[in-house]
Amino acid sequence: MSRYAPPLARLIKELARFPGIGEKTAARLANFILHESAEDARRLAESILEVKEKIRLCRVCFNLSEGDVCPVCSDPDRDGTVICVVEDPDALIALEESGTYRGLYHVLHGVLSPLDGVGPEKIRVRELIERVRGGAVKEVILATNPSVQGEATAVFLMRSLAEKTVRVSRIATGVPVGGDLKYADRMTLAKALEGRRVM
Amino acid sequence: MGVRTHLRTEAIVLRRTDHGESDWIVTLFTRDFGKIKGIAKGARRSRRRFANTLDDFCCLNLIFSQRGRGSLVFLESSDIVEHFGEIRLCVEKTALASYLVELLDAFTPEGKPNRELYETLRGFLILLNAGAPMGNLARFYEIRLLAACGYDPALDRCARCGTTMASAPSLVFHAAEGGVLCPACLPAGPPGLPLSQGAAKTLLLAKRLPIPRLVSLSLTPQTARETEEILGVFVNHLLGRELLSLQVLRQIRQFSIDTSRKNK
Repeated sequence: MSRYAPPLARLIKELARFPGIGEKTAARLANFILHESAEDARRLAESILEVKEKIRLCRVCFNLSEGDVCPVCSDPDRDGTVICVVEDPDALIALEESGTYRGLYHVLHGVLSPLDGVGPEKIRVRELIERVRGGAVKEVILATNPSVQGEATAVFLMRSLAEKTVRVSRIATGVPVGGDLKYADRMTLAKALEGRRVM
Repeated sequence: MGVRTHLRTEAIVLRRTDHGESDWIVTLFTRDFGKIKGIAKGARRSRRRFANTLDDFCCLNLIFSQRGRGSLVFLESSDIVEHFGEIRLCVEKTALASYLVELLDAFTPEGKPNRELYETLRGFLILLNAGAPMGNLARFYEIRLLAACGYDPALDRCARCGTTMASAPSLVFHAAEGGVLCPACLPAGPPGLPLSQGAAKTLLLAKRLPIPRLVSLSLTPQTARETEEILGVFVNHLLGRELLSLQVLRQIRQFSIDTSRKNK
């Protein structure tokens, strides 16, 4: 039987369902909420409900959006001829924060992962092919992570788009800015040499 | 506080999952200690200690230590032996490599050393990376893995009475019986799967040949179909399920067929 009072035990149980949160961390968070003002706790509860009620997927790029179409897709200043394909909304945000990309996105919501049973039907591949088939797109940039699954997904997309009249490119991999060559691993250095450019 | 002993071995990554904000839980099959599961602290944030080695089916030199009595070991550091770059450039090869590691993971318990299994997995990843025919590799790997794990199906003698079947014109395979059955032992229930002598002999040969020489062994379209069917049914019977990577491999092939049909 839980040593906590039932309402507190219930909150701990709910918080412990979150990824990376164990029972001890959940108890610490629950105690923090308990000692907050009623107004702060209400704001937290309302923001959770608001997220569930208002956030949906953009019907064009499948980014998280408050409206039918996300702010990126509805921005007239963005270049609609280039689509950057990312694994998830967090990757999209990271690219947006770089401030250098002015095209549109396509969020796959996952990558091909045979060991997890994730095949092409479980991610937004068909939707990407349909967007490209629309005709306005001239370039697709594949920006999935350089992991085994990310590479497999990129290769698969490249093949699926091969018969379309679009340029398909892959983001560069190699030595990070500010890095040190003597600490780089073999695979990173090989990729860096392979992807070198003329200056 | 007890002193932690650092252990060194060569290993292949079977699976990696996120743990908390910055750690990975990694399942590896090692050359000297069998299957182990370990935590790589901080590996998601700092790649320096593990330097891109803890990716699916990478072969690496590993240093790890045991903490207490739990089964989770502590991964200290690793450096790459082989990352099988050609497999990563082909989605079907990636799915098949995933099948090889998933099959081994499903058939092995933790902490039981099996050097033969380790060399089998490594040898087949090398062949796959070098471009050997994928269908043949999958069948030859299945038969060798089953034999190394103690589930060797009877293909040249009756699984029930032991009568030699080497001269029988055709064979009938029964997964529940663990191999082919002679006419006298055939059960009254559902019929088994047909297996030609050619297919059975190729599988028996695939068990004996050194792994690098398997590229010279081929299956005809008919024997490929038969061996895929009997080994697929036998593996599913033993595990009680179909492996996920095999389902994904089929989906990838079907998707590619659908897409190219639509483009025409």
